[in-house]
Amino acid sequence: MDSTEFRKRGMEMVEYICNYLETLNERRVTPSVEPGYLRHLLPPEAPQEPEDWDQIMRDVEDKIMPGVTHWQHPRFHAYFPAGNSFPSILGDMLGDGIGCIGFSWAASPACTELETIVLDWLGKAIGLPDHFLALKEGSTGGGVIQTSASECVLVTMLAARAQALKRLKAQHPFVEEGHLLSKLMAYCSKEAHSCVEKAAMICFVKLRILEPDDDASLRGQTIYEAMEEDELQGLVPFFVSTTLGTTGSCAFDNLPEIGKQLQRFPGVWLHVDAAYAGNSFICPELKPLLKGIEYADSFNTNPNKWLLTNFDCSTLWVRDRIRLTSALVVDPLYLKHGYSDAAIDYRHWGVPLSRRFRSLKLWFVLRSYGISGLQHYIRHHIKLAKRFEELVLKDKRFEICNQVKLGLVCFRLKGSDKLNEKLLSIINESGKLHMVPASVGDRYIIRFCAVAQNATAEDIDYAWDIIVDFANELLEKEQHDELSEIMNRKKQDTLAQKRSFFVRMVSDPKIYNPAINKAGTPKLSMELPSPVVSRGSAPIIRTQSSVDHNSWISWPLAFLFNSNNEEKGSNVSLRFRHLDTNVRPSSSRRNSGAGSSPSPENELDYVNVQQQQMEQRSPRRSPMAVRKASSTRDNLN
Amino acid sequence: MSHIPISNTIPTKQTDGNGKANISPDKLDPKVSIDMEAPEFKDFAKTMVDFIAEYLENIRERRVLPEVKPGYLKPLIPDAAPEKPEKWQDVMQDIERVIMPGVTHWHSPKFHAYFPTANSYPAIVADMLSGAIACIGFTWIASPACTELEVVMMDWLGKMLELPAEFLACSGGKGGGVIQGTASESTLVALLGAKAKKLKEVKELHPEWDEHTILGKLVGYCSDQAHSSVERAGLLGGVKLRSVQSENHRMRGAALEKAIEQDVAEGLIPFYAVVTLGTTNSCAFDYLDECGPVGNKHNLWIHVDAAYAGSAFICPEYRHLMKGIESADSFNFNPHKWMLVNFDCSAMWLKDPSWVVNAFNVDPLYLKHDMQGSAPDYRHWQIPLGRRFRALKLWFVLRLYGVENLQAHIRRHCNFAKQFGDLCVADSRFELAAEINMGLVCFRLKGSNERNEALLKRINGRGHIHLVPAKIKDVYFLRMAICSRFTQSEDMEYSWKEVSAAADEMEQEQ
Repeated sequence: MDSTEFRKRGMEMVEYICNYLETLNERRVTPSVEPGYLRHLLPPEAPQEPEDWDQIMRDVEDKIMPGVTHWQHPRFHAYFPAGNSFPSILGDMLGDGIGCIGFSWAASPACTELETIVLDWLGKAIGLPDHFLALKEGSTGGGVIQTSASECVLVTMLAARAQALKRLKAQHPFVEEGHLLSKLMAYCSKEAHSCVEKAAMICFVKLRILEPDDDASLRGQTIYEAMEEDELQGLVPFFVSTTLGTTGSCAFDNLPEIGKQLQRFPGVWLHVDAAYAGNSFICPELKPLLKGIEYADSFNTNPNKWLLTNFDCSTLWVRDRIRLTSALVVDPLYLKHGYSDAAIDYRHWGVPLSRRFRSLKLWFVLRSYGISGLQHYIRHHIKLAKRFEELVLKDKRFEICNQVKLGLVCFRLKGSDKLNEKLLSIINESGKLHMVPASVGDRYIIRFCAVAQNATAEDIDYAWDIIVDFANELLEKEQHDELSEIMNRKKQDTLAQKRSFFVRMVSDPKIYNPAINKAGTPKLSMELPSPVVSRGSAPIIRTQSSVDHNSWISWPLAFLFNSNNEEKGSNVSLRFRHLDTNVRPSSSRRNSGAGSSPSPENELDYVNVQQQQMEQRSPRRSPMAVRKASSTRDNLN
Repeated sequence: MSHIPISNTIPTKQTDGNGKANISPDKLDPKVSIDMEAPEFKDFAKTMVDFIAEYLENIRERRVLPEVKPGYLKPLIPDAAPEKPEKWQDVMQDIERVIMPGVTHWHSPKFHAYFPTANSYPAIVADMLSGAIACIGFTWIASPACTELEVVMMDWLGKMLELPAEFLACSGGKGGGVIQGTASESTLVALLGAKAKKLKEVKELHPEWDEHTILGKLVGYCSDQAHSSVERAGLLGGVKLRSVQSENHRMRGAALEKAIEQDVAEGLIPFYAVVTLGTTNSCAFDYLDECGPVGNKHNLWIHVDAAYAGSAFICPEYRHLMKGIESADSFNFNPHKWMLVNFDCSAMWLKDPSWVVNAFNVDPLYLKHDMQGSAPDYRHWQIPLGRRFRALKLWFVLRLYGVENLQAHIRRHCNFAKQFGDLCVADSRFELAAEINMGLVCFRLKGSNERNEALLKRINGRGHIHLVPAKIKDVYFLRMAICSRFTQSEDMEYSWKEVSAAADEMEQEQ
């Protein structure tokens, strides 16, 4: 493909993109394909000879699009928004065209410097304290773009781990590092994103998952009590991850309380994960939700969620960039350059060494919309969520399960978890709407998120109409099945007990050390299993770990050591279900039913007759289609 | 017997009918569009397409290395985001005024630093489509095409390299491939999988040892020539990593085994070894056919890092360098370096992904059976949760070039390296510091390291070509990497003239 053809095909792709986004509402939100669908549509090997571009574009429509879940669809209400906008697409296109890799300043100065400046722009707009901004006088902080929030949490936990180990080694110079590592404890709420747990597993440290309050908010007193208890047991608190805007219910941990309590535990790194909600703080009326940020050591938010910026664009700010980079620095000669001391080299700020020119799209978006345009966009989504909340509240059969502060509404039918799971399943299977569940306060709830960039009030009303239609049919059926109801209640009790047991499990320090005895005093032990003799150093408080193959020795790799205990495995899976989707292809359901491994999912069978009914329904015209028809009629005049 | 469909006219107890929406749309503010409308996008896009085409078409004419100093950009743009939207024309104008002065032009034929970072029109256009679809493929259902195209593309790619069937999803076994962002991430993921596997093994043998005791004993290995990301993976993974001394820049099986046996004698637990095919310093190749069997013998996880050179294995004449690949547990190379696929696209295959899935994921497998590979949840195979639709650009590139043209691209670069090497050897002032492999020439002036440092500084200072140095066993040399897809034979002559002219200048100053 030469540049002449690129100009032609590039514009054809632009046309395709415009057409795709303009007619998106005419597609099913979710595809009706089954796993493995694509394998049979594509040849098993790459073509030896070049293929024609037009054939490739036909394949995009015929083979790729049937398998696309349309995240930009006005009826997509799952997860959180996946940012997408024309300026962002073009910024990424320019980044591709320039094609530099910005691991050091010299590798492409504009790549590094635009990132530094744009992160300061965004930090100011959000209202971060000056010490997080790189170019403020006297600041030791700064911002960086990561691939995702998972990496923001991971790199800050790695930095905190490095810092804590360094401090412990200074205090206990003869103790082996593995043993020091076993003392470290991180903390987060039960509502925190699963990436915190994943980061703890990668860092190979213990994570204590704490119970939030009735509003799903982690409180300062809870943190304090947990840390004090752990310190008494000889453990070393080193990291706390708090969430502003949890995935399950968009709840807010109480950052002012937590920050104050952490003043009693110097050396603990406080991270704030505001992946979705952080974007909204560009609106003055929402800045109170950021209260307490001055206590934080790091903060992350994802413009690729709610700021019309395409994935990948997750922004992280730290108070002290040296503490971050010193944990990650590996510095070979071929990456050094003449200005190494004067410039920020972003390869030291993340897991990958190489990095794309991502700041271009953020720069394009911030300029093309302006802060006021982005504020308007966020406020619009919040209004839509409030509108949906009002619709739910008006229907006495439903209830709201979260405080609707931003764009997420958690709701459910009053009644059993099974009833709500059925409702969500039949809605999603219809392909008219796409939502996902979450577990909040031990109840199965349905998450409805205002997602689409150009969503309208009519879209919200239409979504509610769909939900009500399906609920009406489901409730009608349920009224005729009292026996099923009795069985549902029994299953619900079983599931509730399992869930409750698991929640207690993960918050109970006995998981980490079954020998913990709250009533007793900590035992002092002069003996260490390490061959290094600690003669002359202060004794380390260490409790004996009982050898019990049924107990969890530590959080990292716990599943490996308990892989034979399927009941626990099943319980564990419930904990993280909120990240999964409820859409089950038909063959998967049948295969799952025949699966050899028991799981709670198999107990919750799906009713095939409902699916048959759904297939008979004619697709309902969306308001946008009506408007398009009107527009066509107007054009005829 | 089918259930009678419910009718909307059936009355319910609800006072507001069937509960449908009855809030007036007027309650919301009138819809104000803040979006760039499609016609404006088309104009902006056309200008951008033209800009990119002209930029790449005329890239020779730009100075490859910028003349700016740190901090150049700050005075050129405001220190805060604009409150009001700006015109796209203003953003477009700032590309030349603000961005281009600070761009190091990686795709200039005069850029010879690092290794290639691929760039091609099909990949650029595919990334545009990926950006428009804008799905996040962390589970199969989150966008089935995203996952499934990746499965098939990894099989296509694996077959192009003739990887053993155990690595391919289509074999129906455990194995399969995944696109990571970078080789650094592939190396770390492999290390974490290896760690999980070894911990479980040791735990079964020594139930009385706690996992942190075991962790303290784990040790991994790599050549002293391995990429810095390998050392970093050890740092991040919290394990010791031993550097094994290479012989002619290549790690031999005997040296690896000696290191392993020494560590075992000291009570340590070897668990992981990285074999590099195509080192960054000199594009040297570890003896995989020796190191692999040694690793298997001692039950280590063998990870093969072929980040740059892996692309060359689509050419049969270079596959002998992969000999021993069947002994590996994981393999990685970067199509975004040399296969005309834009960054980020790092291909990784695993013989048994379950160790990676179990190593650091919090959502364990529901069923204990071998994964069929049709619909993996790729979020378990990587560090981030979210992922872009990267398979599209691989698909576009492989189809629009076809394997034969990609092979031709590889061969052309290898010939250019040989051409430059011949020019060096013909000049008695210069010597080769290492064997010429693939598209990399390692050369230096005969004499001291200081002379060569001065030479490099002078070459780069002229701004006409861009090289970086490397050092092996205290010998400093210059690396000439063939990077750009626009490079012609005349460009190699030009680059040689630049090197020679800089050397001439130095001689005249003495």
